[in-house]
Amino acid sequence: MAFVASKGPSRRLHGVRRVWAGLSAGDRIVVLLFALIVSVAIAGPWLAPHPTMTADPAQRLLPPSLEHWLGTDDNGIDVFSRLLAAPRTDVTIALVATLLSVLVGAPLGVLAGLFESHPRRVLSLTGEGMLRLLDVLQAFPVFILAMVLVAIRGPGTENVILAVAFVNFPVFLRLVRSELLSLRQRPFAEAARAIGRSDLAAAFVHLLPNALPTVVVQLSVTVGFAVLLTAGLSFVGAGIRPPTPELGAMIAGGAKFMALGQWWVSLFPGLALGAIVFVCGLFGEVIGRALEPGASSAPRRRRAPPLAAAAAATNAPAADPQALLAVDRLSLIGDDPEAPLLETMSLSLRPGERLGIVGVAGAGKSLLLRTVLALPPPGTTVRGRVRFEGRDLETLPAAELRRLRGATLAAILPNAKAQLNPLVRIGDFMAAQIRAHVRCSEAEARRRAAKMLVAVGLTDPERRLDAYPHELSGGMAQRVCIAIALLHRPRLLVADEPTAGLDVTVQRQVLDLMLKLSKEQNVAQIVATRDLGIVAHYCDTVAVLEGGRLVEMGPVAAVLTAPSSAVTHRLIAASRGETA
Amino acid sequence: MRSLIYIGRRLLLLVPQLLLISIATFVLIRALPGDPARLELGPLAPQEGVDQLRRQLRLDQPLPQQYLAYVERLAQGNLGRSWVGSTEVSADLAVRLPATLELIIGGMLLVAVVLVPLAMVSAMPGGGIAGQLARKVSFGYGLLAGALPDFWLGLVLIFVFFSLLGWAPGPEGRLGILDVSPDHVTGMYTVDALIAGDLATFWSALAHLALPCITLAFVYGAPVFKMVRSSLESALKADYTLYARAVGLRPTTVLRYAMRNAAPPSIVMAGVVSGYLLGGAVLIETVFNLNGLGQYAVQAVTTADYAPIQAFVLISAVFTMLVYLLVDLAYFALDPRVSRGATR
Amino acid sequence: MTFAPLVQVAHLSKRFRLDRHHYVGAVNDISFTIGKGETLGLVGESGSGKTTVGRCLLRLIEPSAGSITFAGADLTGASAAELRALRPRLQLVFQDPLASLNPRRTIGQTVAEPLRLHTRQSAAACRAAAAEMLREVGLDASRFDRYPIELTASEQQRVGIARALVTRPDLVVLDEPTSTLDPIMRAEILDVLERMQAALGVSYLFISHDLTAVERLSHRIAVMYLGRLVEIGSTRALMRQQDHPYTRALLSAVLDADPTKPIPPHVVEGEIPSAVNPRDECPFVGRCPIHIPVCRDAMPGMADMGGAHFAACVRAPELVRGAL
Repeated sequence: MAFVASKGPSRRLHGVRRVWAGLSAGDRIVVLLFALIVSVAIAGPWLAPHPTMTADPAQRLLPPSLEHWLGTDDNGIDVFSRLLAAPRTDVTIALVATLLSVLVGAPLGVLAGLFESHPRRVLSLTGEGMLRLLDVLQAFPVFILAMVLVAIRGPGTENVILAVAFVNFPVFLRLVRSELLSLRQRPFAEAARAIGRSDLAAAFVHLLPNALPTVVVQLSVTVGFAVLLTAGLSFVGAGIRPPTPELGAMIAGGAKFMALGQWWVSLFPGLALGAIVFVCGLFGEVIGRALEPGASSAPRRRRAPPLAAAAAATNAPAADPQALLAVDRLSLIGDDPEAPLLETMSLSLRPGERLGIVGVAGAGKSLLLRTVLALPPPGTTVRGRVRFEGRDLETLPAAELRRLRGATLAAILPNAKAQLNPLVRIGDFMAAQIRAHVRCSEAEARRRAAKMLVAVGLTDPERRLDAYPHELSGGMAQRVCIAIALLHRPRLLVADEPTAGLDVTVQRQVLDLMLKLSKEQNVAQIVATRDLGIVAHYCDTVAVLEGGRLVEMGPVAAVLTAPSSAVTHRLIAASRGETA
Repeated sequence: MRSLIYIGRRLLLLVPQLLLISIATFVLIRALPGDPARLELGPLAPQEGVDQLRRQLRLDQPLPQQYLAYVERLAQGNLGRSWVGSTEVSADLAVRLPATLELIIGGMLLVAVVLVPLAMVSAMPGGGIAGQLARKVSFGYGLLAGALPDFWLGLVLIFVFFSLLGWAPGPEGRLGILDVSPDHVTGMYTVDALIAGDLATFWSALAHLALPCITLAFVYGAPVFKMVRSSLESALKADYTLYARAVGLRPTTVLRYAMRNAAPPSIVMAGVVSGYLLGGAVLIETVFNLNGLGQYAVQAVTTADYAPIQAFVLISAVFTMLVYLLVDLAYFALDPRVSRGATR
Repeated sequence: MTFAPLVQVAHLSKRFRLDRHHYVGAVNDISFTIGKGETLGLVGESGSGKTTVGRCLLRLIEPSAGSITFAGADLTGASAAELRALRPRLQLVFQDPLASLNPRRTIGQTVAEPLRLHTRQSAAACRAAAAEMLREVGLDASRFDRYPIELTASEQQRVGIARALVTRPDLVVLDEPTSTLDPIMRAEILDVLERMQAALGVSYLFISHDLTAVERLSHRIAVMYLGRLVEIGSTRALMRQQDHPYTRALLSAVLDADPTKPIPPHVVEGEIPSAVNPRDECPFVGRCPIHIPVCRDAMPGMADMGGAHFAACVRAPELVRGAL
């Protein structure tokens, strides 16, 4: 275990104990089961109550009884005793073979990864050649390759080990190579070069340790697979042969009796085989999780202290009769009921009003918008009410809610390119959106979509309709989302960071477009943003969130020139790049 | 245009791949100790027969010449003779291959008709009691499927459905002892029986195929099942699905779009699994005595009959390569980011 | 304020080959200097090539053409060994603080690593120096044995800064160090950077698309567009008067948080064009509101606008006179 290796024996004990303490009850059971399998593999043959290799024709095919718990096989050998003795063969072969394949595969994988991207042409070609050879090797189905290898070299433990190792080493070669290549793309790999590490040193010091959890998980999967492969080879007579106790051969020995009704000879070895593979797989996942850094201590969410302003703002009366949107004592409860994600928020919006929502990251801006859209994250509970055009969104039937969304209640979500399904053409998506709300033909829907694309300033609308999202720039994708939002003359537009990720010269274009449409069609807006400048110039009112609470709300001019809460002060200073 | 170039290049790649495979199978047999001609003809063959084959294989000439002779023989469709059965390997294959194909196709059909829909239903949230049941079944299946050995599962199915319940025929082969095999058209008994209009034989062939196909689907369908479930789950959790719901698309449209995203990884996984199916058929055919390609190979291995082994290895590698070719083409067709390129 | 030169970049270019006929002209013929203890802000939108300039400066990317002189030594011709010896003097701070830290090493290990590589100090001495540097960037000793994911984004970026400064470098390239942070964290990081420059006399190349941050930290500002340098000058002069229409557009896009200040009208439409096989013309010509036919003939040279202020625009003199 690399993370304790350099710390000496006393720290090692400490490390193991700490890992154990960090495990859940289920994980501990898995670890204990794995320990049980290893113990049986080591001590099984000595624990067997009956001889495991001596035939006794008088005891042939006895069903399970007190004397023979799991019955006897056609040689009159006690199945339970053989079952205790057999895992040693299977587990040893699987472990040794897996170890062999990782010892050969992993270093070759490092070489392949380093060679492949090396500027020297000889090396990059060598790396490429290794992979192409591997392709051919892997074209031969694993079981067949192993079977043929054993057939060529003859049965026997060493040959089975070699065959199993041979068919598995490409797995580790590929895994280590691809992990290495993807880790190299991560900034910390570049950081290692920037401080002066050589490529090779960076690979071993910084990259490989990060590939460890993946390799360990694969290791355990491979051990399980190797057990199955060994048993399969023995089952067809190309692996371990009787009288050596081995699970696959035991199943083969009982195979013909299965059809005759003597089920116990084959059933129990198969169950044992399944259990070994199953536990190996789970054990790998447990170890993989334990190897993740900081697995035992996740960062805690910071909570804002109770604020007087918060109480004042949340108690503000929300019963505005002309309100388009009225949020009344809204709370959003996540995993921890003591720390709600949103806490008793009340606010209201008149038709045509533009409200900006600001706050630091994690203040609850996006959660508020999602809750207003009646799309809270899974696993959360909503308390309080959201009324839109006088209707309670919480109690509205799903079908009516759907007809509302995208029509009178429109949404723009952050990073437009991620919002558009990469496999759906813009035109298909827009037409589906239109026809989900209005009865019209496909052709009519596409005509309307094209018209709207022109209205938001996109040229060549037919080409845009035919495009997939990856063929658009960020700014174009954002305009497409705005066009979708405006298709059905919305009364409220909910926009979460509508300009994040856009270049600054494009941001202004998008904001101006939204403002123009809002004014022309009297569309109310809720805009969540971390940029106070947007709020200052594109919104009428502003709400400041902190730690899931509404701490301040009012006309933009009042709040931004004479803020009453500390967080607003800090946000204003921060907008100038200064700390308050 | 772009797609034609892609397909052309991908097909072209097949040439070096097949070349390397033929070299690999060639080397595989040459790696054996002893005289390849003697190995192929068996220990009992007369010396002049062996000498004749030695000349035919150009064993007195350098290795490249020998390889050319090998390829020439392949090109003529001559895969050598099985010394145990003293038959042409190619003739044996014509009988055995359809049995294996029938098993593989039946297994994949089961995966497509039973496992994939189950995976999709269990990936969707809600769905009431049926949905909950589907999720429970799928959870249990996901846990078990990767761990159970296929050959053992086949035996258990035989015990339960043949010995205990008597619902299915025993491991007696592709047809009952009293059934007469239908006239050879495709070699697949179910198809041939239907062509001949012999319903009784059709049902018998189908019944004999049921348990082997279930075994194959249960064990080898698991990776496909898990991939369909997890990729649909992540597609349904993705930003674009939330957005599709936020703009009020119909639930059926939302689901249809998410399935498009789940399709490419699922198809790749199905392809990878298909590549393993010939290997899986080896064990299952042995258990059910189906007399297909896999069982043929097992018999050849146990009797050190090298010509059939060589042929089988070659066929399975070519099969895998062709499956991967289909996967690549399907992926190309399904994902516009591959087929239409990225602009920036 | 004038600075003795530390870095001189002359005619730097970087092309990324796409295929036989296409290449991306990420950086085209750029020259500038950075003085000792000076901060040069390098501003531009995505795709302008500013990040590539930073990487070339550290030779993390090999330049295609041009020369870089660092403290009198030719950096472009430096061998791998010479480069390694220079590494402690040339450092980098990354855009994404979490991703730039090895998740399996404690922040103490991360910050001590450059010292262990480049000095002969004992492990204990390196640890002590690292702890001291962490304290200076505002992280207390209790953080020393933590893993990166246990810290806030602001703390993570301080670790990145500490790692860069622990070898007392002469130059640190700051590659968008605040762009993934929220405004309050951004301000904290700017504070740290400013304080550390005052304490250590280090030079910064501050790469950012965030004009507010650049304005606060930089002595001079260079503006890039589509792989070209279009304007460079002192921060004060450039903020008062922009001599290139693109710089104007960039500045007009910044929205002040004060609602009483009028918002400048925005002047450009469209988006940054592709950098594949760039033509020899003004890169901004397609979006420029004041372009004239001659702009398409060749890339305009850098014109001296006085006071060490340069702009690459044929109409710059008219802009300065206010004739446009």
